[in-house]
Amino acid sequence: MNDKKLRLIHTVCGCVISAALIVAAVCLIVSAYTIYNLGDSPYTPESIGAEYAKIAVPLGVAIFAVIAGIVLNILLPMPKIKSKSDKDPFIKLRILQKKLGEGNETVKIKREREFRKLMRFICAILCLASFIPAVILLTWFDHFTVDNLTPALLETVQLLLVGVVVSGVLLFVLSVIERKSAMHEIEQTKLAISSADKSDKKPVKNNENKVKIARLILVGIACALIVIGLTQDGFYDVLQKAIRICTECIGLG
Amino acid sequence: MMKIKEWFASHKPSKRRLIQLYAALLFNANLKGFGNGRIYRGSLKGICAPGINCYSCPAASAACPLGSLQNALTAANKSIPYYMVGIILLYALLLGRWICGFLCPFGLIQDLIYKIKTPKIKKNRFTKILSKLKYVILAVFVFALPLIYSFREFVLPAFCKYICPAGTLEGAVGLLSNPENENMFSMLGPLFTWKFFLLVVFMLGAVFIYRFFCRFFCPLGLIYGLFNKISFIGVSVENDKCTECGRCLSVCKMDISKVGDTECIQCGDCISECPTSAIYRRGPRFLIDPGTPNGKIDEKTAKKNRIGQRIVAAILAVILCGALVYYNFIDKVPETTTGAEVGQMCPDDEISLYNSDQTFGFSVTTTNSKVRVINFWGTWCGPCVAELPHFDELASEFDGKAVFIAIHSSYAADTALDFIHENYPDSKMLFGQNDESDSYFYALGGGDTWPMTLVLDSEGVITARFDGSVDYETLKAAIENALN
Repeated sequence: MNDKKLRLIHTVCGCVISAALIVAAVCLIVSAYTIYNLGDSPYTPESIGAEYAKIAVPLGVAIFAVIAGIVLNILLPMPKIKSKSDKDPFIKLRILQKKLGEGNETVKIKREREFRKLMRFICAILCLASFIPAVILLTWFDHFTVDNLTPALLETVQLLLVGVVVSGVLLFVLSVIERKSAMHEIEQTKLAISSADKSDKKPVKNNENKVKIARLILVGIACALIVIGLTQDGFYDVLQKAIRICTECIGLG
Repeated sequence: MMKIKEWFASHKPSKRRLIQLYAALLFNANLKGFGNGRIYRGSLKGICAPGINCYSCPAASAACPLGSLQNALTAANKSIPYYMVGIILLYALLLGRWICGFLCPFGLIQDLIYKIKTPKIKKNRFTKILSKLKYVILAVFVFALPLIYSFREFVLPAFCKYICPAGTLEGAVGLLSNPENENMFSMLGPLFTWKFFLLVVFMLGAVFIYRFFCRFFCPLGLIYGLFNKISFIGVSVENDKCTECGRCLSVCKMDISKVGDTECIQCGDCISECPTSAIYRRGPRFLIDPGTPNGKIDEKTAKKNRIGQRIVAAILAVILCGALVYYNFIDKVPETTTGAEVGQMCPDDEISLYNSDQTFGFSVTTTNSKVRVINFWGTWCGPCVAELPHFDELASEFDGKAVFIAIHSSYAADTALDFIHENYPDSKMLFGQNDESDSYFYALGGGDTWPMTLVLDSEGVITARFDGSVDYETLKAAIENALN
């Protein structure tokens, strides 16, 4: 079998496994939500088991798909793909920028950079704005009394999710725009390099000794903090918390 | 058969994978915990593992540094957390994010999940922006919320409670999966639903995106990453040799801007890819891979390093064997009695009361045959503090019919008196003090879970038992049942 066919088989198989895993994950989340929504407290392994029995098929398919993927990989190993180091325009741009050197940028290159900066600024403002309702709720401390802390935070999460979705879309749009702008800048930078004289590499400062000194000072501070902590029963405090299960801390409720 | 052999030959575990497995086993050496469903309660639990590893996991042999840091911050209104800050700083300076790449058990789990053959989402501008989310999580959930609530006398390890998938997977699911902990199912509610949802999202994310949790959400990795450039063990670039070809950046699966920055987990994948051998590992010589093509190691030195590595490997193997034997066979923590089930007589004891020289006896004669509600709590325990108002309210409601006693744990006992004076100065409840080893808690069948509540009828028979929190309605119904 040639490499092209093998790659096609692996791609199809990968897509099937992905679909099976996503369906299984969605089923797990829906089941968990259904169990909670039933309000059939106190829960028992039997009541939860009964709910999960309903999604046994998608879970089984997902497990089977993963195992099938492993077997396929043993029987028909995926041919190695050559490295695509030139694919990311930003890596390429960074290298070209270093080659060009500071101060040799043309007006067009500067304009591209300023455009990207402006887009980032607008995107950041819009992203922050989408979180304003959640931030107002978060900082409204009266909502967060000890008694209803968990429901209040869960309400806030709903508002946060709106911000996350809006920001996600904005960031996606920004990444597309930035990519196009970077591609354009690459072309401009290549032109500038070919016309500009190559500047000499600046000597790199040797900071090794400074780093060593900073490291030793910080290690000394860390050791001093540990000793002070030990005299104040820090070890005992960690131990006492670690040997007791705080059920809320692990999400049991 | 030949193909299987070939596959195994080409997929034999790398040194990094072996170190990851070793660390995961060492930090989870209490394997007997999986059998009996109990966490390790020996004195070595006070030592912090460097990576994220929930200390409520039945197998955990050491404490989680992030959980311990938050716990220390929740008590920041009383004492400055020198010990935990010192420990994390020391780990960061010695190892940096090498811990993420080599020692973190949750990192290993994600690495293994990523091996599932599906189309992968490679790093891009979008993931690079998302990687800044860690800063928000560190600031808000690890520092701000625990600190703010510590000054409101409320324990809130916010990251553990609302985000940490390691706690859900290793702690909650680890405990629930054992039939011995069947009673824990009664605690499940909205919080578990939320954390289970997050766990599924993180696990699914790890299938498609390399180190999904580490890259976008892990605050501990961020703390270690801040020290990456100055840590003893790390990855560096020789600037003279570097040709800026960008190969290292394209090979790396993390969102790095350059080798060894805050996002770098020091896995070393870029070392062998560098065409000019400009990238090298810094650190003790015996830990540096003798095969590293950094141009600095000649054959003689490489041989010496190989011998050094073998000696280190032998010592580490002995340590692991010793840990497995010690945790599973030698370090015997006293088992709790199971003689306090519903329907059985409650064992008698005497408890000293706070702010009084008196003691409280649990025998029927002492309480004039009243219903008794015994609650075990601690100021350090968020759910315990959160449910106390219900007890206080019910103590007033059932005044004369039932006796309520809240017994504080031996841990942080010195903080209880101030808390009681401040919050419950005129309460009808009695506040008792456990002895140094919490013997009454364990005598009543208390496991590792706090809080715990028992309801006894007028004859001293246990009629209800709640391991974990109990809400107002459920407790009221249990008391009414005991009264009838």
